[in-house]
Amino acid sequence: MPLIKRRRVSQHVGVDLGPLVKGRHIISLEELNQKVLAIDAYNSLYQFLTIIRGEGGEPLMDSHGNITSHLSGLFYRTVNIMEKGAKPLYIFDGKPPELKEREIVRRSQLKKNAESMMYEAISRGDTEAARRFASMSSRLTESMVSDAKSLLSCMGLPWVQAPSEGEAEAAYLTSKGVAWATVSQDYDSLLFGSPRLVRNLTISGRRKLPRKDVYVNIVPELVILNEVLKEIELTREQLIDVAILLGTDFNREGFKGIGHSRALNFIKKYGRLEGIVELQSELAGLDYQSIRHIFLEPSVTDIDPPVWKATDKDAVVKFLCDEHDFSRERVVSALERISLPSTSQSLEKWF
Amino acid sequence: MLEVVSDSAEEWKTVAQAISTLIEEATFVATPEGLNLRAMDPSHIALIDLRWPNTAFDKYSCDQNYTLTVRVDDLLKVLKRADSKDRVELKLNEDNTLELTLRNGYERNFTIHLVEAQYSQTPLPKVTFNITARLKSTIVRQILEDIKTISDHVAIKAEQGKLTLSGKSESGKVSVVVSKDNPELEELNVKDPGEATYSIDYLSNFSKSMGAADSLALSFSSKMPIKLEFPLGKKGGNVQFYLAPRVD
Repeated sequence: MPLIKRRRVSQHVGVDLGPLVKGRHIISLEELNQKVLAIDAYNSLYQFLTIIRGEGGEPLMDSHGNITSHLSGLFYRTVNIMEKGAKPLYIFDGKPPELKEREIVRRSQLKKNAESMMYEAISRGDTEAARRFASMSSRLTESMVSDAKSLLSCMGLPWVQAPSEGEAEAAYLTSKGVAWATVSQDYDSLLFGSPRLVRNLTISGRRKLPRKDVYVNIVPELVILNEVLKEIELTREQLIDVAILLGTDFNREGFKGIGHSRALNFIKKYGRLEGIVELQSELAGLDYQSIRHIFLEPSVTDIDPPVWKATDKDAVVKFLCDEHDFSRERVVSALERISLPSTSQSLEKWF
Repeated sequence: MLEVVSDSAEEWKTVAQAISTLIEEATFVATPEGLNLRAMDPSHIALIDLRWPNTAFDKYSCDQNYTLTVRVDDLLKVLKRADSKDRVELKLNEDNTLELTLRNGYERNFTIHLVEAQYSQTPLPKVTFNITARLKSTIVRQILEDIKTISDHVAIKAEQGKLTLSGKSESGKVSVVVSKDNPELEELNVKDPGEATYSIDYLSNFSKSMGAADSLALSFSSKMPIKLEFPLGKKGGNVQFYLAPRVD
């Protein structure tokens, strides 16, 4: 297996806020007609690399040995949402905040371990384990990222280079009204202040549960920040403190022995981290002010109004089929789905 | 207490048919003045606005405001069992069910469960219509079917004295002209000539749900939403349908 020369790029795992997020709204893709979606590009590409794999856990590859799982996901899933009239705006990570360095090194080590476990599983013929370790060892390289950007440009789609965290930029653009919602599997954009988050959008459909031979239906859902805060009776600042207790990308380990309900109860009781008498010694060892600062005052930038252009079909076919050995028939038929006369506008424009 | 009786199932059938083209769950608002419904399809391309005053019913008793949400499919299935000549009685029960009784000699009694409303107030689009027309409903259905053979969208163009409806696609093009000489075009008023393009499926499904109404009022302006309107029965009921234009 050829080893791809790679440089380290930042990676998303995010804060596990799931159990605290109540009142998810199931939505249909039709509801996204004419809505701009600020999609966390790295988060999506990681999902594709992890999910889109062959039977033995190997990623899709072209005849030159380049991994193409991320391109396959990016192309077909983006076509699915464009077909319903949505306007995707992919946001790419820039330089990670310094506090994230340790986490990046840790994940990189985890991936190396998973990779050797994968080879070991392959050699003893355990395909189930090989598949599991393979998806754990997914890495996003700079060339994969630049391929993804090229594909988006061929498709006529705008994309944004964030100065730092993509999720923060997506949240900023959504709070400014440039986008209607952020799209990510993580909840971090809520901490960054995104008023609306759409989950499961680019991975909807049937999905295999890890370690089980069971498939579940994943449907898109909408999470509204104000509703989440109202439900748990916290401010966004307080939710950030809860997240710091649970562990964020900037303090992965969190606080020992503190799960969702204890974290929530602490902040409800004491109002903020500073007040938690039980944790004073642990708090003294953590620069939580800087973590708060990343969420409250992230490095973001304003952008020119994004423009969605017509898809350059020939360029897409050349890129995917000629350069990366995609099935011409499948690519052409997917392109037909987005080349129909443009969709209808939303009546909201006239309200 | 809410009890509503119509001497013909025809209007209920039309209502259920018309809303089923856009939504899966419908929230009716009943006030002492009458029954109303306003809803948009999930993509917010189209809106339906139903006004059904108490005078349009044989009997209408409503002591306060109620909102009742039904699965349109449930309602439609029951009403499909009704003959146009059946008398329809509708009653809101205290256990959150809706009782529908069809009478025609013998009596059939259906009870359907209401669902939790995801109701939100929807405004009407603010549009100044420069073009208004009234056409026979049969010809509207015919023309839309003609254009559908080639295209999934229809361009409607209004000039003094005539309307041109056309469509095109990779497979070809089609156009139909109706002028003041055609008796099917009952009225045409062009303050400012204009053209706009709309999705044909929405228009065609809506025009098929008109039931007994024999003419249809149509209003639009260049690159603006279109409004279609037809009377529901002969006693003051009215259905309006708005559709957003396609992106240029």
